[in-house]
Amino acid sequence: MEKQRETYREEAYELLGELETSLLELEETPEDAELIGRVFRALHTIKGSGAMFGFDDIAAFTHEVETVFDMVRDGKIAVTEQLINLALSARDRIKAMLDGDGLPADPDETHEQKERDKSQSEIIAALRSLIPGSQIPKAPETKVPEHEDKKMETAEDAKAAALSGTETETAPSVTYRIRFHPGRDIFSNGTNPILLLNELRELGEANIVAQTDAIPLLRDYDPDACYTYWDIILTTRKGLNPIRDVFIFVEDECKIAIEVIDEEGESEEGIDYQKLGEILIARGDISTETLKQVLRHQKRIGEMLVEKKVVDRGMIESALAEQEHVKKKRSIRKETFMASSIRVPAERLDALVDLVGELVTVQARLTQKAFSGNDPELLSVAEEVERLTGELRDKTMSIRMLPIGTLFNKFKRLVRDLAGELKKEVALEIEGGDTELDKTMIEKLNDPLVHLIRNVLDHGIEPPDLREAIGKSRCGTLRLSAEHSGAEVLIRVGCDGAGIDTVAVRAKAVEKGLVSPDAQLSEREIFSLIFEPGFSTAKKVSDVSGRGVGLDVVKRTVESLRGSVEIASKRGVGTVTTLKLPLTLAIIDGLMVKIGEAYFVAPLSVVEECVELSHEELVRAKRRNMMSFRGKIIPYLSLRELFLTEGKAPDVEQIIIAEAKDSRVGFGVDQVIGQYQTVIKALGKMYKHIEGISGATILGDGTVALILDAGRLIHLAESGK
Amino acid sequence: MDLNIESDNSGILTLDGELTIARTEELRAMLISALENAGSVHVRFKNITDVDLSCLQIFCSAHRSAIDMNKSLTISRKGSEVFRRAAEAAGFSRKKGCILDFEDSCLWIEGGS
Repeated sequence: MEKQRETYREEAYELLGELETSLLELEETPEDAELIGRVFRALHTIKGSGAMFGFDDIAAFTHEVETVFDMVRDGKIAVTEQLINLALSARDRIKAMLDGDGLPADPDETHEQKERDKSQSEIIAALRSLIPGSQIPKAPETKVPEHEDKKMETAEDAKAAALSGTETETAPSVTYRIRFHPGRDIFSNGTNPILLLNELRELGEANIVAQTDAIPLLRDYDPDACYTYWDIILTTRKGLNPIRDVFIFVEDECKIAIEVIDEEGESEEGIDYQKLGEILIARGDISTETLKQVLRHQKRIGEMLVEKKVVDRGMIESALAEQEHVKKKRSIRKETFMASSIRVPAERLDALVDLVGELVTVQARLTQKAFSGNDPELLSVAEEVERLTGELRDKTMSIRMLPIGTLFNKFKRLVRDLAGELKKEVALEIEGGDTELDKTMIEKLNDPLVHLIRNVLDHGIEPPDLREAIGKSRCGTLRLSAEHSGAEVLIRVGCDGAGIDTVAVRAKAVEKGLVSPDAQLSEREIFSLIFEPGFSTAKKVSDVSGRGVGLDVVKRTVESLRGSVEIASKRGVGTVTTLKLPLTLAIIDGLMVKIGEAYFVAPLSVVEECVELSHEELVRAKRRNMMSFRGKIIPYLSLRELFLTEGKAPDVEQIIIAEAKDSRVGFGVDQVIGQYQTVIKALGKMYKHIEGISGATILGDGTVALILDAGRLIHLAESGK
Repeated sequence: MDLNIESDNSGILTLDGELTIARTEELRAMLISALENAGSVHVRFKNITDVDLSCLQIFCSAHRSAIDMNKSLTISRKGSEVFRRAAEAAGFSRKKGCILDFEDSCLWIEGGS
């Protein structure tokens, strides 16, 4: 049961996400029936499954919201801002209940629990007041009304509910064979059998074949008699009772036989259904003996039966229809099963990535061995293993990829609420929501993006009156976008707000002692000051952009993800903050280098070129910490010196030209080994603060190579520290 | 209801208005008369407003009677959407004709006349 509860919780969180998105969209287009339907369905499922898995509080509370949206669906209640606000509060309440398990409250309720119940009852009262003709709001019920929501403990109960006629999301789809044989004088009491057939059609997918074999010639024909009877194959989730109800007024004068012939969830070996002869025997239209006799002739069974005048063609027709109907149903079920997704705990995926990482390492070792051994057969096996490992790595990585839209959509609510709080008008535009990014990365990006969005709303977008006064539209635009750029993802947070006041930023930086008053700073350098710790230009502390914690948190987080932050801004036009991030945190393509006896890996994405410096050039470069590269002077940093490597340096040093943040730096290493697929391992807490190193990887022979933190090293080289 | 016997011994029975149980007796008589007086009968629909099961059945009966009398009976289902829909709702549509229909002239074969 606990496992199912956990699954329910996961699904409910997803549904709450959908609910929030739909409510926000509904606010924009209140008439959209499809959106109203989506809101209702989400609530209905949260309630139904909640009751099934023992989340009675959630089911009871959601029932109230669902009731209101049922009326919205029927056009009895209009979608208003008040309704959306209430529904969003209810959604938050449900989430809080889920977080807190949603189990019935403890008798020794804490103060918080009492507060929680209070806000719950306030929401319910407000929702009830929206119902037309509602009286003074009733006290909230903690239980779901007995007749509406039976607590369903098991799947068996759900099935029982289906059979008793209560349609639930989990009720199995059952196919029935119905033979409806009305009495001859059924017309005399005004019954129209076609209407009954239509009622059956409304219950599900029906295949109806009229049997006409009893219709006599005109001379014997009684105009008031009903000679037709029907074979109906009906697939429905509504159970048996509603089918019986269709015939409730005519059952005394009709012969009605209903049998289950196919059921969802039955063990199925394939889509094949009974053969024609088997169906006819099962229906009692022919006997096994008759079938055997007819089978002796090697003709098609249907034709033979008709020729022998054992059955009428109509019977063959309906039997074939039954065969086709069930085959189709089973085929759809099989396809649905094949196409459906499965839910896997994230830890298992992480474990899989770890295993693939180890496999990549072992494969590297195998390749190394194969190359040194000069054995063509081993070499070919190694190449094959390399290919397969590469594919496995890519597939595994792609499983971890999620569209960033899942994260972006969460911000709709944040923007709406913040704009309301700040009394600003803001429209959120999302672009590239389907851009995929590593799951861990998406999780870690939440906080930096929230911080950036808060800043845009607080400092960027002007109040509506001011915007109007300066000739802008009253409603500001916050644009979230994502796009792939090579092995990186660019995430932009842009706005058409006031832009950054470079003079104010500079003055603040001087005041805070971040720069000297006479420092000559470029626009870019001034922008980068915003990311310095403790920097804040807000004149007063607001709840929205925090207590001046500053954007340094954003920068730190993004850099910990091996990414970078850049700002572009124009006064009066707007600001765009770009986060540049690698696609994945787990495996990178690296360039392996050797310094002394130690191996290091530089991310290949920053390596532009490798060059060699002669002895004289090297001496010069070391003296000035600068080197000449393609006619330009760039900073030079000897990694041998930086890492205090022991032993004699080689005469000729190789230089990696790395490029990041629009600047180039030359890093001196002893030897460039070559490209290396690097599985990144964290260094652990002890080594977390070592500058210039971002992680480690294990090489084919088991030795450890450190991964260079290119961004930090470039910063070190540029600052000349 | 109107029956016209042409010079080539073919009869055209034109039906209009409501084809419901109230007119089944009348319809039966017309069909008998048509089949007795013509070698082949074609039923045409004009402004049909309602069709019920009793009427659908009687066409089946008329078709069987025609086969029994070695004559032919055809209807233009496409001529009336009301008729076509009623036949479909009553589950009369067929891929093959009944046990008596050796020439695939069944009135209910899908895509038929």
